[in-house]
Amino acid sequence: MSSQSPALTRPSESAQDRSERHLAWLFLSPALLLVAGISALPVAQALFYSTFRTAYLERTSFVGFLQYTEALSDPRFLQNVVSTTAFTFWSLVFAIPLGTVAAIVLNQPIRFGVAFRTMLLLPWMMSQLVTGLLWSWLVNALDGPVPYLLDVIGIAHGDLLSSRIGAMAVLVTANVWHSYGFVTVLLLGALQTIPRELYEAAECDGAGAWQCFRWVTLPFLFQPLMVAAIMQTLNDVNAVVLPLVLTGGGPFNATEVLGLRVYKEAFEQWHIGPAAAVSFMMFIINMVISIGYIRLLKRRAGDSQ
Amino acid sequence: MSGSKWKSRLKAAVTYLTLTLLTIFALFPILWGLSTSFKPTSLIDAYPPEWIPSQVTFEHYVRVITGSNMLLYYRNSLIILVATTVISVVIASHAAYAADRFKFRGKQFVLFAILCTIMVPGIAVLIPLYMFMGFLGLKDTLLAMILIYSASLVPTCLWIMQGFFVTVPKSLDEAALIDGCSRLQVFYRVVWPLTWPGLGAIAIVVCRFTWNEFMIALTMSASDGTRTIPVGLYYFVSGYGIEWGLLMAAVVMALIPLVLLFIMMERKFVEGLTAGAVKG
Repeated sequence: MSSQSPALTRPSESAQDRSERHLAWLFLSPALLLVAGISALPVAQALFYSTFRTAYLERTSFVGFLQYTEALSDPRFLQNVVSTTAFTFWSLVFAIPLGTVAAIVLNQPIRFGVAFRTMLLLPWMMSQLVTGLLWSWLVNALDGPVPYLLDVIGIAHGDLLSSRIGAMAVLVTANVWHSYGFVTVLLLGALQTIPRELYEAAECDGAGAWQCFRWVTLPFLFQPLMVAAIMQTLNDVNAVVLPLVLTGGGPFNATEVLGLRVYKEAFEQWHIGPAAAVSFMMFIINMVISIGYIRLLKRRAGDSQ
Repeated sequence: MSGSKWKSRLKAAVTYLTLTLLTIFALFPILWGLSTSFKPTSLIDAYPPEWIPSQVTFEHYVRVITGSNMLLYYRNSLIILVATTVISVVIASHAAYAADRFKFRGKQFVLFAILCTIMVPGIAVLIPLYMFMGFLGLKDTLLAMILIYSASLVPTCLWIMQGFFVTVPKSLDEAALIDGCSRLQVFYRVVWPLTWPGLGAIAIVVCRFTWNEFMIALTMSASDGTRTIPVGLYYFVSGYGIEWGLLMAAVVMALIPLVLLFIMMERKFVEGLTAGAVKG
């Protein structure tokens, strides 16, 4: 860069600035290419296909937004939205408090801290597939331990996966088992940033354990809790594999969430056009949730400046 | 005096009780699967269930290893894992350096656009990707999965790496430039090596994703030569009817590398994820 003669540079830009700009684009271009080709382009293509009737992978006729209005007026779609909402809502209701409690006890000075932390975070390392397989074996109607334990306590249950409420309850429980660790990881990081002196000062002022938690710990946890809630919502709204393996969407579509419907419609029935329409609506739902997330992060970046 | 002692004991009791309950919840499904994998077939259907097998057998593990292609799927998963880690780390590090150190027009927009791709739901791009890989002639290849996984992971890795580049003081770049290094030398010889701690965090995020990913792998693979471990597990369910002993042995085998990695690098993981998800 020092070899460039000053005569070649534009007056507004030094030679060094210009070569930095070129190098910057050079460094960024592989990331850009990969993301554009493999994430952005396919979304555009999904939008394109959603406006066509299709036969297998071929487009047959242009129908505009007909497949969107068809989906919106289809009772199955309504059921999908209800299932997705219930699945997401109940998962959050249990996973967030559970993950928070786990983070708080793990942050105490405990014996075997590393061992406990490893064990409690283990479910989160696993896939939705393995979670689904493990839980379908736990609740199987013939001889699963969960029905057995329910028998022992004296709760009437029948085949858990063949009742609407039972299937959703099992699905939510398995999802909470799989995902609370994410909340724990995020909060553990945040808890470790709280200065010890704050607690000491609060204790000097005569604050009890609850008051310490309410006025010292909780304000530090608010931001990461919001991040965890939004990321978790994104995860739950897009779930496919766990419901596919555990309930297959049944009984009577009671646990058929949006992602699973797109999967079945696209890869079991090869209705590419309608599936693309539903998936594009999912993309819009994702965008709305993510904008909340990005705003939150921006606000945080603004705070720290 | 004795009041505060009593209080701290109560606190410890509540803490350990909570920990125990949480641990039971976390481990119960895994231990049940583990127990099943060692039971002879005759005991698997026992009612009431036998928590700890009275007879132990390795027959399911032997059958998974000798009677299925699990080892081949292991190889495929490992190749994808290593290649994806290398590609996403290299690409994300360069991009993160440019994002952190260079000033140029359009920077904010480009970074925002890359970040935005995290909001693309996987299921929405599955069909277009399936067609796109066919168009590129990459159908049923490991390369297709490596490319898709890298693209999915680059935004997250970029974000994590940026957090680590921020921690390297800019005065170091300037000092190296004054000493006659070129910009490229500054990056490759001085700054990049200092962000190695970030790699641990990235590696574990990448491993968790690639080792577990199922939907893309199921769609892109059409033969044993390209099937990964999760796809292999799924075929145990649909292919053999369900033989739970066999399936649980396969699940345990699929989990072992991930669990080992997690135990070794668990600290890094908490650090990296915090850097990636909370640093704005």
